[in-house]
Amino acid sequence: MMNKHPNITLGLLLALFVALGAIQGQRLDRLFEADAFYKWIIAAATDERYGWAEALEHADPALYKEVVAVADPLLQDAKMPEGEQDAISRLSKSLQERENDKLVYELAKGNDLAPFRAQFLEKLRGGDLYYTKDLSYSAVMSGMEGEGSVSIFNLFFGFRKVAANFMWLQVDRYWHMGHLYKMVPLMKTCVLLDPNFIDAYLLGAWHLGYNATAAMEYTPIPLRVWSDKYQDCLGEQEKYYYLAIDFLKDGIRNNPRNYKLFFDLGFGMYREKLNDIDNAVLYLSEAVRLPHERWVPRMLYKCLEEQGEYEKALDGWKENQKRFPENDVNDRSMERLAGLIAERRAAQALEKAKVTQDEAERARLIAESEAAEKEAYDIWVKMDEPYALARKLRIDAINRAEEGLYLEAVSYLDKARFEVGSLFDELSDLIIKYKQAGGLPLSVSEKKALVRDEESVACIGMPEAEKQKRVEALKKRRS
Amino acid sequence: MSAVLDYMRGPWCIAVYTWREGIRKKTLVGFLILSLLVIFGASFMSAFLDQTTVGNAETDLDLKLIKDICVTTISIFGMLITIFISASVVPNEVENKVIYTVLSKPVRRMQYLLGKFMGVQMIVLANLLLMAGLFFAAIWIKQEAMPTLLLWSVLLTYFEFLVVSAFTFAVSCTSTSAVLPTIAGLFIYMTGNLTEYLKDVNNRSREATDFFQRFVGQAAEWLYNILPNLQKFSLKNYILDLQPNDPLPSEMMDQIPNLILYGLAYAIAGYVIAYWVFRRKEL
Repeated sequence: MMNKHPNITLGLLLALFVALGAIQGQRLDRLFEADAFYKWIIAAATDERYGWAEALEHADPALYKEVVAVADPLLQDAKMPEGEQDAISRLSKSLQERENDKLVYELAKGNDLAPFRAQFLEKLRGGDLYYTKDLSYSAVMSGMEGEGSVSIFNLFFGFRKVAANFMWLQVDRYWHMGHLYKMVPLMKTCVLLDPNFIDAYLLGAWHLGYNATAAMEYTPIPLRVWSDKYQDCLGEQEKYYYLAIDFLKDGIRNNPRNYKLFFDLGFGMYREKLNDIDNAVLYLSEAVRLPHERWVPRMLYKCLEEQGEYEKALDGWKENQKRFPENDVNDRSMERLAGLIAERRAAQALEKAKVTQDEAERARLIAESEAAEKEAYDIWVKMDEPYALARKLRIDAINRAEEGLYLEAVSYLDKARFEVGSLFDELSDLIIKYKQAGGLPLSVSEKKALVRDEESVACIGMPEAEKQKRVEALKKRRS
Repeated sequence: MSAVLDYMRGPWCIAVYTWREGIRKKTLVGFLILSLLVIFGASFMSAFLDQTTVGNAETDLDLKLIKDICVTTISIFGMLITIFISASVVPNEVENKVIYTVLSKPVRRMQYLLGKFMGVQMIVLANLLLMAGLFFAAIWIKQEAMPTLLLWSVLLTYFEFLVVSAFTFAVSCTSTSAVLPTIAGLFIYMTGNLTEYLKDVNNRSREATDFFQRFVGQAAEWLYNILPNLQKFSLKNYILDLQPNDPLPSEMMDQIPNLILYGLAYAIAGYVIAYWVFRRKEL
């Protein structure tokens, strides 16, 4: 054949290999599309788990709901995380365990979800989806309207990441020049060019949340404005904190398997800046599920302690002790938590003793309270450090106050609150409480603190329900 | 088996000869030295970045910069080396008239071309491995972990080069000078990266009512399906975003073998074109 009709043979061979290439190309397109769909599912599941509400005006939630309806029954074999809330879908829960990734990917690629994959692609190309706004696979991006169209993505022949790096150097230059206002759009361009540029998200959020706000005046709560989007009272600083949070959340949508973004969101923003310990614990818990540095769990245990989840924090430190026995922090933290748990046990038993009518039960509860208090006291004595001293003084103060010796109690607390800064607010509240109970005069700063507390329950435009919630919380803190 | 070995003896000799000749080319060595300098220089970027790394924030910015610059350098210089060598091996032999001596021996044109193509691939691979080796070392020093994922990235880079090399080689078989195939090679590389536009054209033409626009859209779709799309190999960049010792995620495990087959199919198609034009060439 080759010798007789070489041109026909070669033509056929050429057609065969071009056809093979074309078939492979189409197959790859399908794989890239399935991959994009899979990544969208991960992003949507992350949104579902954390209750983010940014995509409400887009087509994502409705489509995700349909996907969940089909996918959930197919995930019976998936490993589920322990102690998770039932309100979220099985799909979202299963994606908390990395070993289920393959299972979910096979679902995203397979026939069961094929109609939704087609819908996803149609909506993606129509620019109707939110979670995929920075999706970078150019094969999927083709024909997409709006930002991130094929023209931008192909402009650099695949060198977009380098372009993003050099743009980042410009961001850094602006930072050193103090041109903060020029940085934000450039940072966003950096992550548009390279949605996997983790450091751009981290440093961008750091600039927004820390540096941009450093020179800003603190806005008293009554002068702040209520934001429906963030469900919080916003001053100038808080606006930037939430810009940083949004930036990190975008990063998480594009890189849901990177612990650093969860860590910075939980610890850097919610704990350090907004003092929102519940959210800090939420995101730090996700960070420790992913491959992480050894200090990440320690920050989670710290936040759990601040949240009052002493037992969970203690379990965490015990686990840490097993993994890193050489670390001194483990022992100190476990001792401290044992002291706090004993203190709480003592307080709870005393509270019960105060309300019970049964004399024998009261005597038992008081004995229990005293035993727990002694246990805590012994721990603080043994620890012999400023924090332990402050806790010891706090116990002494409570005992004096129980005996009606309020002035002595206040003097103990006054000494204790200057021992450890982290206890200052808690002990100052106690001082005010005992002064009021003992009829002692409040200092000017204490009176101001009370006024601040009263004013902190409302800001401009706050809904009444939220105001009531905060009033209740304040009452609870004061009691 | 022995028949195959016998058949391959000729091409292998030509490949070795092409390799020996190729590594002596000054332009090639120049490209290689330049690329190695850039890769080596990229590892010093961290010193420059010390001023830019902000506060106490621990970042991998310097590492990312090294990765991105090195991957880009390997892509640019590797592609230039690939185009330059693929475009010149056959025309240079025609120009030096060495080809007449070779073809007068009992060597078929197919064997000659196969030898030349194998020689080109040996040079491309050697250059790529040299650059990748230095990149590997730079990351290893910085990260103190074996960046095994880099091997997957390098593998995909090679198959991207293979496609461009095969089509440039095909053009070079029509030419007596290396200039035209070199320009054509660059054009092939650019076109290969812009194939995605054709899909874009097709998507936009779907809503058109005009017959001509719809025809253009249809033609664009056909072309999109037929032409090689080098953007598909950009997966190599995403591999490097993973942690160095992470196993490849399932989606990439799916995509990589298909990408290799994709590259191979177009490389063979390119080679068939090369042989088609070369067998009728008057020599």
